[in-house]
Amino acid sequence: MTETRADIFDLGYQRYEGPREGRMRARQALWKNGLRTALGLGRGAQAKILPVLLFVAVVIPAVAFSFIASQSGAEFVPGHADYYQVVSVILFVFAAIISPELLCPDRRDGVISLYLVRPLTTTDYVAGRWLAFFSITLAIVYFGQVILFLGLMLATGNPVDYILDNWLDIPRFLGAGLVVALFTTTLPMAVSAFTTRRAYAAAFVIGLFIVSTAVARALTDDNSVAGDAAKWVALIDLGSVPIHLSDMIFNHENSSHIAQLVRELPAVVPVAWYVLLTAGPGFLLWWRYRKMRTET
Amino acid sequence: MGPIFRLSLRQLARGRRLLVILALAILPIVIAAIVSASVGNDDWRDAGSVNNLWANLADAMLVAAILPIVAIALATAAFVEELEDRTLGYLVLKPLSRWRIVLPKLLAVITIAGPLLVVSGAAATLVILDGSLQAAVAIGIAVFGGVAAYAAIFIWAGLVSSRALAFGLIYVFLWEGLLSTFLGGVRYFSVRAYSLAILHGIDGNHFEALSGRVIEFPAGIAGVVAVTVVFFLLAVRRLQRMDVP
Amino acid sequence: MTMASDMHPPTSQKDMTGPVIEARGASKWFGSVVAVNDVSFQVYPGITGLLGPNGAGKTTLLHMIAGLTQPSEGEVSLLGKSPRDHFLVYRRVGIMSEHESIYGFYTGREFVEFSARLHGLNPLTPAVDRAIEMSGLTDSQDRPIHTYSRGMRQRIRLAATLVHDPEVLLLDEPLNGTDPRQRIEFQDLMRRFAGEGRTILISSHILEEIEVLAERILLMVGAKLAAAGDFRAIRSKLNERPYRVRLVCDNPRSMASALIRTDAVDSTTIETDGSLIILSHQVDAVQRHIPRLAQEQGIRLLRMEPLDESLESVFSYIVER
Repeated sequence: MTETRADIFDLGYQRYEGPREGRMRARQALWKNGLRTALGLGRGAQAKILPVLLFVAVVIPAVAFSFIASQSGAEFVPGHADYYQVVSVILFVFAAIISPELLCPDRRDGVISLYLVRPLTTTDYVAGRWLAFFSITLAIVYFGQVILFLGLMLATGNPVDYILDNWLDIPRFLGAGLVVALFTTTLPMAVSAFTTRRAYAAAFVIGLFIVSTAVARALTDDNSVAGDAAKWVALIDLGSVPIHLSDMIFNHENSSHIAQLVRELPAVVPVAWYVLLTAGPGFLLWWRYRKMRTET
Repeated sequence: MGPIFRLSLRQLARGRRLLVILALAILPIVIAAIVSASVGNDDWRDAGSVNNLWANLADAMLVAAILPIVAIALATAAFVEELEDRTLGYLVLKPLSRWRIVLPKLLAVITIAGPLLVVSGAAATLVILDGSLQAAVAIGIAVFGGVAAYAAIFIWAGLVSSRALAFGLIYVFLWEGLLSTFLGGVRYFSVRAYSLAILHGIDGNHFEALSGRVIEFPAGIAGVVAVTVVFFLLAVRRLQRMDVP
Repeated sequence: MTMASDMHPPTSQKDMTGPVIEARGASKWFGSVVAVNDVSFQVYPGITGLLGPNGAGKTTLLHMIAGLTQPSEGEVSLLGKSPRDHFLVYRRVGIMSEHESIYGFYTGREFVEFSARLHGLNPLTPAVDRAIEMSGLTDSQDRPIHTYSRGMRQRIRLAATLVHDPEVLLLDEPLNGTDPRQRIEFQDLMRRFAGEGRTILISSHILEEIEVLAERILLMVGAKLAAAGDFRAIRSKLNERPYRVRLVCDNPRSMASALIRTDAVDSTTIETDGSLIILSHQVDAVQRHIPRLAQEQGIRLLRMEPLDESLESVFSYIVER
C-alpha cells in the first residue's frame, strides 16, 4: 500500500514553445544525419574504421602518383584519369559496405516509420540519405584530385607553367568526379533498398562487381571467343562503366583491354549504358521507398 | 548434432538468398554454353585454345569470384545471424560440447554450397570442354576443397565479428585477387591458390594454362586440409571463450 | 495451464551439500562500464527473486551464472561447477534469457522438440507433450511461431526451457508480454516446482510479480548487491527508518494520544480522511498496545495495515539511499 499523500513533479511532458521550421529544415537534418551515420561520428571508434580506411585509401594513390610523376624518366606518367580508374574501384567497394548502413538498419529496426510520421516523404528520406553519401564520396575524390594536382604541379619544378598548361584538368576532374561519384553511390544504395541485412547488400554489390569484371575480362581476353561482339561484351564489366565516361572527359587513351574494346563502340553507347546503370538504380531506389509508404 | 544441422539448413537455404545463390551457380553453365556455341571452330578447339580459355575463365569467374562469394556469404550467415538475432543461447545452453555445435553448422554450409558449386563447375566444364570427365572431376574436387576451406574460415570469422562478410569479401578481392597475382609467396596462404593447385594437379592437360602461376599439388591439398581443420578448431575455441549475448 | 500428473520430482538435490547457485566476488566490466560489482551470494532450493531497477546488472549477473559470460573477476558456480567449463550442467538446468527472439519458422512443437533433442531426451514425445500442455499451447503447437502473439511466444520458450525437467531454473523477465491470467498460471507453476524441491531464480524489475512468489530476494542496485534474504527480514533490518502503520478507528485522536503516552511510538499523524498513521521502531510493541488501548478506551478498530511491508517500499528505500 502506498501512502495517501501524493506528489506530482512536473519533470516529464513539457510543451514546446519554440519555432517550428519547415520541410527544408527536416531534409537538411536528414542529410546531416546521413553524413554522421556514414562517417561513424558519435558512435565510437569501431564505426569510424571504414570511413578512415576509405579516406586513406583514396589519398594514398594521389600521393603515390605525385611521387611517381616526380621521378624523372618514369615511363608511366600518371594523370587524373588514371587516378579515377584506381579510385573508382575503392569507392565501389566502400560504397557497397557503407551505404547499407544508411538504409538497412532503419528498415530492419522499424525506425523508418518514425521518420515518416514527420513532415517527410519517403522521397525526402531516401534523397537525404543518398545526398549524404554522394557528398562524402564527392568530397573525398575531389580532395584526392586536388592533392594529385598539387603533387603534379610541384613535380614538374615549374608550377606556374604547369597550371597554365593544365588548368583545363580542373573542370575535367570536377566533372568526371561527378560522373564517378554518381555511379558508385546510386547502384549500391539501390541494392541496399531491397534487403534489410547489411551484410547481404554489401556482398551482393561486391559480388556483382567481382563477377562482372571476371566474366567480362575472361570472355574478351582471348579475342577469338567473342570476336566482333567483344566490344559489346566488354560493357559487362560494371566497374569500368563510369571510367569510360571519365576517359572521354579527359580524352584519355586508357590502356586496359576492356577500355580499348569499348572505344571501338560509338561514343553514345557507353554513355547510354552509364545513364541506364545510374538512372535505373536511382529510379528503383525511389520507387522502392515510395512503395514502402503505402506498406507501413 | 542432427537437430542443429537441420536447423542450419533451414536457416541458410531461405527464399531470396537461395535464389540469388542458384542464379550465381547457374551463371558459369550459361557462360560456358554461350562461349561454346559462339565458337564452332573445331580447329580452334583441337588446338587447345579452348582449354586455355576455360582454365582462365574458370579461375577468374568461378574459383576467384563465385565460389568465395557463395561460400563466404553462407558461412558468415551461419553464426552472424544467430548472434544478431540473439538466438545463439538456444544452442549454447545445452549439454553439448562446443564442437558439436560448430561442426553441424560447418557441415550445413558445405552441404548447401558444396554440391551446388561442384555441379555448377562440373556441368560448365562438361559443356565447354566437350564432355571431358576428367576435367569435370578436377573442377568438382577443386571447388569442393575451396568450399570447405572458405566455410571453415568464415564460420570462425562470423563468431569473431559481425562485419565478417564485408571483411571477407575485401579479403577475397584484395588478398587473393590483387596481391597474390603480384606477390608469389602470398599464394601459399590463399584458398584460391589451393583450389587452382588441385585443379591443375588432377588434370594438368586441360588446365595447363595455369601452370605458370600455380603452386604445387600437394601444397594445395595440404592447404585445404590444414585451413579447414585449423579454422574449425579456432571456431570451437572461440565459441568456448566468447561472451554469448 | 493444466496440471500434468506424471512430472517426476528432481533427483539428487539431497546429496547437494552446498548452495545450488553461488557467486563469490563476481564482477563484470565492459571497458570502463562496470555491470556487476563484487557480488557474492548463495541460492538454495525454493524461489529466489533477483530484483533491481533496469540497468542494475541483473541480466549480466544471470548471464554469468548461466555461463554465457565470463566473469571479469571472481567466481560463479551452478550446482557446484563453473558452467562455462562443464556444459553437462545444462542437463539439470533450464535457462530462459531476456531475449524474446526465437526461430520463427519452427512450429511451437518443433521448437520444443528441438530443445528436447538437444538435451538428449529419449523418448521424446511424452516430455514434449507434457511441456506444451503445461504452457497451455496444445492447440497452437502446430502453427509456426511467427504467427504467435508475444505472450504465446514467451510460453513456448518456457515450455522449451522446462522440457527436460530441470532441477534448477534461471528465468530472466519470464513474464514480459504476458497477461494477468498467464501470470497467475505461471506463478502457480513456479510454486509447484518450488514445492518439489527445485531451485528457481527469477529476475524481474516488476515487484508485484515477484512479491507473491519469492521467499528470498537478491536486490541489485547500481551493479552491486544491495540486499539479500527474506524481504520482510531485510526491511526490519533497516532500522533507521521506522515502520509505518495505518489505523482506521472510530476515535483516532484518543488512540493517538493514548499511543503517544506509551513509549512504543515515535509519532502519530492524523490524515484528512481520519485515519491514523503511526511511526514506530517497535512494531511488536505497537501491535500489543493497540488492541489493549482500544479495549480500555472503548475505541472500535476498523482496519490496520502496515504501510511498509511491500517490496516496493523496501525497494524504493534502498534505491534512494
